[in-house]
Amino acid sequence: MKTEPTNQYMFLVRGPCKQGYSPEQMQAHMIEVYAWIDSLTKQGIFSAAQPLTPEGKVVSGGNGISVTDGVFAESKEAVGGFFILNVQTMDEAVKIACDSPMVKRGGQLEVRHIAELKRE
Amino acid sequence: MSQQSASAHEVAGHFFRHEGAKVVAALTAHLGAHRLQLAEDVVQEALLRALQTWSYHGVPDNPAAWLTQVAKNLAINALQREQRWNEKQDGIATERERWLSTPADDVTHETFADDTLRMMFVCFHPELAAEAQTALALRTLCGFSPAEIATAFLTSEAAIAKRLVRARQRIRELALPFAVPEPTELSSRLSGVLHTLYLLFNEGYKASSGDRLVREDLCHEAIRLVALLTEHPATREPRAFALLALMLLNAARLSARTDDAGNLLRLHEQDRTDWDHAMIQRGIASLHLAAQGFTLSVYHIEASIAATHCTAPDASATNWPRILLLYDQLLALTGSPVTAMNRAVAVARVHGAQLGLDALDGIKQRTSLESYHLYHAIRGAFAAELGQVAAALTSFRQAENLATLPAERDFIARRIEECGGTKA
Repeated sequence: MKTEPTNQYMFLVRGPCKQGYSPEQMQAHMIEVYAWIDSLTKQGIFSAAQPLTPEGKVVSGGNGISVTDGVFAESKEAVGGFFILNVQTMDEAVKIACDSPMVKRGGQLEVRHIAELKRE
Repeated sequence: MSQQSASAHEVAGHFFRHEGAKVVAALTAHLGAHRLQLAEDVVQEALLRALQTWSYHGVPDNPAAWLTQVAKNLAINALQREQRWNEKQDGIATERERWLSTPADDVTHETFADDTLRMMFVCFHPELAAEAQTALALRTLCGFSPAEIATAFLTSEAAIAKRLVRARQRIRELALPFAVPEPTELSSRLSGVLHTLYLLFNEGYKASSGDRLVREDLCHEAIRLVALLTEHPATREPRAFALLALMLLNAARLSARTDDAGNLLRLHEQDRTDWDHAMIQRGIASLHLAAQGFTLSVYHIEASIAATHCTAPDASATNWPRILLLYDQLLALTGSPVTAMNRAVAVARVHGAQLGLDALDGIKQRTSLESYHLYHAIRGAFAAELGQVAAALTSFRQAENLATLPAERDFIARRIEECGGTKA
């Protein structure tokens, strides 16, 4: 059993979630994201995407088990969702991330290569 | 994910702005006008969550219900954080809690229309200053951000934010009810609402400065709100239809007022095929509906003047005698020097430039016009028509000094050049 890199990359999305966004700007941003996804879909790059709700709990072990409310809704550090894209190289993935409307509007994408578990 | 394009289509227009505003009205209806700020805050947060969720998977089946539900949940959370929520479980609090916990898909169009109308009577309350009324209306009824309102009024975002805070505070202090006024009061209150919407429209319609799209947005929002008044049984009065007609018949010509370089064009220079003829038809239809009843408002007359321009196939076919007659009526109603000045233009078109000049000289409160660039520009145009080049140049130079906007100054500079003068 060994892990091997796949041809899939995951984008973890943080922001942009500026409080000062006007409804009009929000709508404009959403349309931009749709256009971006459409173009990735046409190129066969798009694989999946899912948002995460801001509510959540943090469950920690160690000195007993603690369950706390996350501060997800307020935190800019919180992951708002993810994309999975079919891309061959990290360079290509980074280039796509740079062109994304999220980054252009000041958000952040964490680009990770998805590992695959192979049984032989 | 194949639904993405279809979803994007569903949120066309100003969906976020207008759906957000509807939810603010619905929440305020149940929480009370004193909690306007809370309603605005949770709706802003709900819209942000919509952006974050819908960006991945497309818009839900009933996006309006989705927004309302999320805003309601956020409102419950916020209220539960307030201690009073648990202490005072009186009838009102229980009813409010019941509504907040009910699924949001039961909201009808009629309920939204009622809530929006009530919100209009709060925003346009005579106890609020006129500038506070328009800022509040743009924020709560139209979903503009303070920054967008600031751009429209050429002021700072901080100034608008302060204006909004004061307005909401005033609503709390006066304990303004979230209600349509009683029948005895309705007529005079409606006058105030219509007048403020008229001012809002004019703010957008004023000669082009700043962002043209933002200004056109103001006009279209004013039209949307007046249209709501004409659709609601409590307020569908002839004068509301007249104001709607007036706005439509002027807005239809907005895009033809400037050429591609942004230069202001006079009526006879405009390309009439650029006018929005569907909007003109809507305006004429609205003017017909306004004719039912016995009252003749300022809006009726101004709309009729606009209709006369809109229905002329070209500038030379304009029915100026009719326009002059309408200005006579308007002047009798308003007595305003600006109306008298505009009337003088119609006089000149019917009886010649000399009588136009005489009409200007005959305006009683003429001193109040002396600081208005258009007054001098009109004088200059009349003088130029009569071949009095020196007098025309003097007037145009005065107009040029008084004009504040670049587009206005350029316009007058072109008139000076036509007279053979050079740029100052």
